[in-house]
Amino acid sequence: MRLTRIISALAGALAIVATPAVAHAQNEYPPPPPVLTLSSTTITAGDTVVLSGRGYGLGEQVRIDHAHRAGAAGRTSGATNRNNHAGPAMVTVAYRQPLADGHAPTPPITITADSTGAFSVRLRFTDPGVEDITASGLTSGRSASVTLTVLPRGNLPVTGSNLVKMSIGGGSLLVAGAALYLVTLMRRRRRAAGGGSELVS
Amino acid sequence: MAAGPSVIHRSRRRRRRQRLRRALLAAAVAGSVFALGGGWLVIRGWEARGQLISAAGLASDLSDQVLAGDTGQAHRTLAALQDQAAAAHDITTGPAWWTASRTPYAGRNITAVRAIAASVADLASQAFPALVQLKPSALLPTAGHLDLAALAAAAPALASADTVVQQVRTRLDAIPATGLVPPIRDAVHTLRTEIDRLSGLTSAGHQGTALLPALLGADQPRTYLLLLQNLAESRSTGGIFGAYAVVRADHGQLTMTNRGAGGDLQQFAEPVLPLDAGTKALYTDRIGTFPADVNLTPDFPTAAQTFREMYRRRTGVTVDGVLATDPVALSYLLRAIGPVTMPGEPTLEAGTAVRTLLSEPYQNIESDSDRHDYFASSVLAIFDTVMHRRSNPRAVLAALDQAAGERRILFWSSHAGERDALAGTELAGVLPDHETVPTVGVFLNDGSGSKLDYYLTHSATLTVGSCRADGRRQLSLRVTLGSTAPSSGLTPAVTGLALAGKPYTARIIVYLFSPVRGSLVAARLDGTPAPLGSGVQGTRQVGVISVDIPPGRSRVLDVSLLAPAVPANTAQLWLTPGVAPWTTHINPAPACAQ
Repeated sequence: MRLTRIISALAGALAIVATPAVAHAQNEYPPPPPVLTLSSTTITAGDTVVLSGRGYGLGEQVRIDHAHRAGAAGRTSGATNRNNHAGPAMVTVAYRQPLADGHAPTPPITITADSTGAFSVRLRFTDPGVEDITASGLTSGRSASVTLTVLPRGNLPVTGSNLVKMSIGGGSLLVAGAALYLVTLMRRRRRAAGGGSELVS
Repeated sequence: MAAGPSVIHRSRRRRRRQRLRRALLAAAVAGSVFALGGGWLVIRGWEARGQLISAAGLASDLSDQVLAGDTGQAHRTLAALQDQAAAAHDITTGPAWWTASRTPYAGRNITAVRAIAASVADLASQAFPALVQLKPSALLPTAGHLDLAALAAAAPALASADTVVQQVRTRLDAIPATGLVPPIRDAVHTLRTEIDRLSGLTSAGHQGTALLPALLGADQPRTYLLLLQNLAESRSTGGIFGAYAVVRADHGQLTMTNRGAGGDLQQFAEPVLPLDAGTKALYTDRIGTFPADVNLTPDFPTAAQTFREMYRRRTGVTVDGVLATDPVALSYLLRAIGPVTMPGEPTLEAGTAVRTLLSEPYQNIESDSDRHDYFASSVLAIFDTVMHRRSNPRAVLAALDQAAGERRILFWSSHAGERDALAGTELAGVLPDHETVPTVGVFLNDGSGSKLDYYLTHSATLTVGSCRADGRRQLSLRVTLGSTAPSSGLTPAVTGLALAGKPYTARIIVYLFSPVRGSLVAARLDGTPAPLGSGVQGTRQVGVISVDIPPGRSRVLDVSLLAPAVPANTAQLWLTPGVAPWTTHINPAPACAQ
């Protein structure tokens, strides 16, 4: 055990010597509260959501981008379409600071953080899928992102659900038929074998 | 001619009467045979019941004797059990039972009884004999050494026992749950519960004896990082990786080669392993640069590999695996091995170890380095005792089982085959990618830079709600977080960076994980709408919220989520293990209408 302690002391000393000086302050290690938040993290297509940010520069210009993915959360197979200018996937609804001309701009949106470095904007999303929304401070370079799930509006197509029901019905009929066939087969085998021992399952 | 028709008529009537009489007679005979048969079945069934009950008692005695290492007595119990089980099985087989099991109403019950009898007979004749041969003491180290040859010798017997137990389990699972009379339904339920427990043991034993020799250096020496999670400063998997020790395993001989504190590894300028965009967005670069943040993620393999790389960068040593545990798990172990004395320090005992390790050092030990030294010495002292003291194997296994079940023992191996063998167990610490029952994760991380989470209390209620038209299921989660911290008298070592603004206020960054392919909808804190940070991990949407808890207060977080369209009508929770146990409640709901 004495040897263990000597080795451990040596290793400890080496570890300290080998540690390079790091510029970052040690008190930055605890996880911070989220920088960017949503009033709701799942909405129905066409609905609005409030995006809030904090910790940007005072009065800083913040650019808001979004990348659209088709399908459910985490399904990365869908095509990524950053800054979708073609369709109205994301539309601003309201600013805390209205634009001078009173018109809602098209994405990417640039808005101004307030005197505390915070901002808040109401956005409308029209395409079902997953939206990765990023807010980047144009001066500070500070960037954060949030993920929003956008569900399709209304019910699933009626034909689709009927088709599912029909296939379930057909499937159970098939299964029942197969079970009947198996039972008959087993009985026939048992009868053919004849002996009582065959009845012991 | 005139009489003709009447004669014919009379003879026809007579024939009809005769036929009726014959039919009645046949029915009476059949009825009495049936009644006799039924009565016979009842009597024989009653005998079988008696034999099964006594077999159940013997099986329970047997498991006690096997784990206590009382081999002689275990053999006698096994012989008696085999007789009883075989007798019950004989009674419930044969033409009468076969016929009866095919009758429309009683059939189900009779089938169930036969399955029970057959299961018990299989266990008695095929699984238990292998288990009786085991010497549980071989599974524990003596004089600092674990007998790998004995472990390897036990492997085939455990493997075959496990196969039989899994087969029995499958057979019992096939018994329909509905249409059984209460006593038989209860018997099936009891046996299922017992078999689940037994199959947990045999599969752990099977896996363990197959894996342990290699893990303990049978082929070549191995080194492991043993991490003690400091639950007073919570992280998703438990707490920050505080004290660590490096353990070398060579042919079953275990030695500790180095020890230190996670903080000694210091911050890195760049993440030590590449971070994907999703990980970076959720946890920031911290998860790859600060040793104290590698387990912001609940995914233990990520945390283990990051810490291992940090240790390699600082010391040049690449370990073969990472094992993390916590003081609560150590307290379970102390319950089994007895108190551990440390020169010049308070004795570590089961009832007080958590306080001794997580609270008192911050009040009594002034310098950080002395405190780290104390933590490391404690781990070393407990490790030495486990290696050298002769303990009751049953108690040690029970302690390890409880700790593993609460995810207080996590293991990652650098060998892919060993990881595969442990995949899906609690030891792996991996949230599943596919799930039949939607799982909601609630992971707590200290955001104040303090040791105040020693005082944290928590409860969670998960309620399965209504079905949406698209088949998605609504879930509502209520998490109550409280603090029993005093409002004065704590040292700066406890209050730490006090990032919540007030030194005695705990700040918890809560990560909320949706089920696989589910989503997170919105949250309210104490009834007020609370915006959420959000990201994605795997196929789960993750919400982030910061909750400040003043001393003596509690906060209520209500979260609404969506589960994907799955047949399950219940849900489950995956939580950060803490100092205080979680109070949890799951409210299931009827299945969605098709």
